Amino acid sequence: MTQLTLRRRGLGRLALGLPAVAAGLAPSAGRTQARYPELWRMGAVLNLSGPTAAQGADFRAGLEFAAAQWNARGGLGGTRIEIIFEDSAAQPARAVTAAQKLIQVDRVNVLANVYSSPVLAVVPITDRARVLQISAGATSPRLVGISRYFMTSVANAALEAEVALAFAKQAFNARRVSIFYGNDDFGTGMRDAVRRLWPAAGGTIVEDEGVDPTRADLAAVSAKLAASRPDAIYMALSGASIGAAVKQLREARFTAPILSHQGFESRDLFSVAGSAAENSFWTSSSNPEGGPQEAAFVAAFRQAYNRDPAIFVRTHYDLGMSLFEAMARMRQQGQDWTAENIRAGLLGLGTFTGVLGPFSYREDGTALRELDIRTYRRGEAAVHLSAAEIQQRGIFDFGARRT
Amino acid sequence: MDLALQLLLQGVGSGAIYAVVGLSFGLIFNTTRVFHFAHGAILTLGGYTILLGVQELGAPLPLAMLGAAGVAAIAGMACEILLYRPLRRRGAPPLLWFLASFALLVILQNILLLIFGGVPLSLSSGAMGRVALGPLNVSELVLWKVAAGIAATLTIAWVLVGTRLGKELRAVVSNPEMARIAGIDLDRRYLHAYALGSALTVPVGAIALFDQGVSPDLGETQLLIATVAVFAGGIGSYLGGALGGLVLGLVGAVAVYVTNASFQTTLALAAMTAFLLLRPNGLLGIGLRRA
Amino acid sequence: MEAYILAVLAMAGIYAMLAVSYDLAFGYAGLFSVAHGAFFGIGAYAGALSMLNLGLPFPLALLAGAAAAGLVAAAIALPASRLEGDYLIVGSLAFAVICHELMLNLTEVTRGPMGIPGIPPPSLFGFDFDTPWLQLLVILAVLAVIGLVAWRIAASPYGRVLRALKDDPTALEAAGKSVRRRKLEILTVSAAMAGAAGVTYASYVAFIDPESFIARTSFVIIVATVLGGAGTLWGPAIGALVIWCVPEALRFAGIPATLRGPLNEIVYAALLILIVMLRPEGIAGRRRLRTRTETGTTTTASTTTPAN
Repeated sequence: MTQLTLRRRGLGRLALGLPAVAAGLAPSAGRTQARYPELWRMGAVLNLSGPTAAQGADFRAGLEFAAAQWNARGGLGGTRIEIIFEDSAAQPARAVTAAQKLIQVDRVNVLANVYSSPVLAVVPITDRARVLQISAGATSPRLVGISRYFMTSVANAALEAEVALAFAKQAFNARRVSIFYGNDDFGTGMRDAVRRLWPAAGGTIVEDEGVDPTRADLAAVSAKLAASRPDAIYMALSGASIGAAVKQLREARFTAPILSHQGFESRDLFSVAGSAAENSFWTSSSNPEGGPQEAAFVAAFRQAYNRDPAIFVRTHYDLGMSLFEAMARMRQQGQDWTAENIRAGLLGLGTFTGVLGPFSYREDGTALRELDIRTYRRGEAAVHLSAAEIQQRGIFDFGARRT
Repeated sequence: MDLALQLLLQGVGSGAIYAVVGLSFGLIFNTTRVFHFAHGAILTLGGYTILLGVQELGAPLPLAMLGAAGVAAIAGMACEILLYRPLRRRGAPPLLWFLASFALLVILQNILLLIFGGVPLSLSSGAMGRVALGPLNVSELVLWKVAAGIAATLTIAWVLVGTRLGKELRAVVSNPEMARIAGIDLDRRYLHAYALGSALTVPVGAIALFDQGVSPDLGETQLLIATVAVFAGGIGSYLGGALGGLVLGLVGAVAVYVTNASFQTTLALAAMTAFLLLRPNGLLGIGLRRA
Repeated sequence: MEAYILAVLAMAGIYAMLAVSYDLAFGYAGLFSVAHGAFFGIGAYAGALSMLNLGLPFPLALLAGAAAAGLVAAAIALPASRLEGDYLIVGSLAFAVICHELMLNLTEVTRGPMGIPGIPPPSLFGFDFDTPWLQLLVILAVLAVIGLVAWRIAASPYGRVLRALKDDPTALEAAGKSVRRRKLEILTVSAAMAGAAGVTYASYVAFIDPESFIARTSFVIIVATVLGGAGTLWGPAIGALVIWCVPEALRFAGIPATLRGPLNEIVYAALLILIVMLRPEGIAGRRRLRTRTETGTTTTASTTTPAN
């Protein structure tokens, strides 16, 4: 490993040195061939088997589709993109060997990864190998600022909770809130955010219940939460159990609003909860002028995959598109595709508009996004309040967070 | 309605479903003494078959359930014929069955994942109606769960008491060697236990279609419950699994009542372990200790 | 390529510690528990916390992890020794699940689902073993110690008593040996070894959380043990190598991206069944199985008896 790193560093110096010489002799000729490969590979460590495999398939489709679209347009200025997918089953130990395989065998220097356990297990490896880890699934607060070589394209989970709670306060005059959270890092992180934010905003937390989604008897938990008679319940679950939880809350005759985060908008949920998902409000990345772009994306995806792109397809599509955009720009400016440069490229991308709306990468590894409030109406998700309306009505000031 | 009563109802509902799972697993485990992990996948398969029957073939639910019972029974018998029986013929110790069955669960689960995808599929379109029962206001879902539990228990009780199959199965449980000498064809009865136990999982799949949805790992999560139910109920007692399941549901509800839901499983399992230590034969065990 | 192969070998080495120690309790003493993954986790947490909070050097953390797992095992072995056969399986399963839930819920100690990141690499007198080769070296060293201790126990007169414990506990009792005490001792030793494996794992991956120590972890250990040949000690170590190498080899099998994951799992499980069918005594097992006429009534039998 030490030798390998040394050798790579040596090559890098050579690569930096040669073009300078070449540039001196012949201003532009030969430069691109020397520095950009015909095929550029990136790796993806995803949960392709196990209980969360449905989400893994969405993650994969989003990245794959972004690469396919760039390749159809001639790739990254002539370089074709290939993504190599490896299964982690969401297990840290399996993610370690999968990441090593991608880095050592396939020589990738950008690695997509999801869920914070696999991400954290892989961080020491990517740090040492100077490989950039990117993610559109790991929003856990425990990932903020963990490494220079880790970046996500989704909003900070705590921000989502803050906007949803501010909305509940103004729209329903909610005072008493209960929390229904998954006993994982995402759920407990969200719970802590709500516990901190809501009392600070003058509200009361009446009850909070955490469940292990694979084992819990959701019916009993829902009955207990409904009996606490809150004005709203904040739902900090994710994955397949979220639909069952919403349905059970309604079975337990909880009719007040359910508040939640971006992961709420999933096939898992709507296929199970059906009309039980009505009177729910969740935060979602704001997409003010996304109409035509989004429609084109949906149509193209449908044609390729014969299904609608779910939320996690979109998050990963945006991750891929922003990465490739940054790399294409770097090529125009004649920059090498080193992990370090790609990181700088993503930060320098400024505001990137994806199908989930505009966002920008930040130094601490998180992304800045404005949020809409969405709701479930007549069998589908719809915007209830746009980010602009949220701003206008004084519910939340996104502008103040930008600095 | 106050919380305690509400939780009691939910506990009975969940307990009724656990009872069905315990009965079905217990029928196979008590007869053959195989830790039939693949039972979880067969439960899931039944759920998907109902879904296909209703959505693709337009069959009414009861008919789809009947079809699913057939499919599950055949799949269960296939496990016995293709895997367990050859192992038994070779005199493989139960441990190898444990391993083979675990591998079979992984295979079946992943096949289901490839066919149906991982998203839970469901037949429900929202919360169910509620029914007034005297002073109680009960969700229809809970009533269906209880009905499934009662129906499964009565069916098995009838099979055990009223049929030749039942008498022979009881003989096999109390002493397989004696049963064989007395002329009972063990292989055949094992096969029947797999068929019946597998078919019995169908109500669980059906309820799941109107509750949390059916996904490839549905059965795996039920396996732990099934195992605990059978042991708490008592090895060697076919109906013990039903009682064990019911108790487990109630303990879960009590756990939610007295503490946080995070401790639900811990408390239920700790209670069962303590109980087994005090009374190793379980609630209805027939005192069958093997050297 | 190099670091990848080293990573697979490192994982295999850690699982070899687990399989060898499990074999001691299971292959020799016939104790079929599914709690070994839990002891692995207890050791990992104890080791990681003692390194991070108390600043213990790696060798002492290794002892702390082994002691923690051993102590817990001794505490539960007392009631567990009342359980046998299927009851032990289920009791140990319950214990494993409870351990996982406690790791999740005792957040003050374990940080719950947040896990513990930033665990330092093994170090000795200020020298860090932080490259893949050096890390593997540490893993092999710990494995060697565990293997040596296990082998000493198995080859000693005490080991013969253990085997008697498996084959005929009643005769053993009649010969004046306390079966219960033997069970208690061997469970404790085996769990302490799993605890040491946990510390090594924590220090290698640098991050642990409850999801690494689920019931399935125990199953994987059992698979490695049986695959390699229970009751041979070195067989389970080979088994651990196989269970890590086969899924990794499948990454190169050219499985299309859309099927990757599920199809790998299917092929892997099918191979397991094939081995169970064709070579039930395991890779290293030599003696043919005892054939039994009656079915399923003996619960604690194992695949082989050692050849020596």
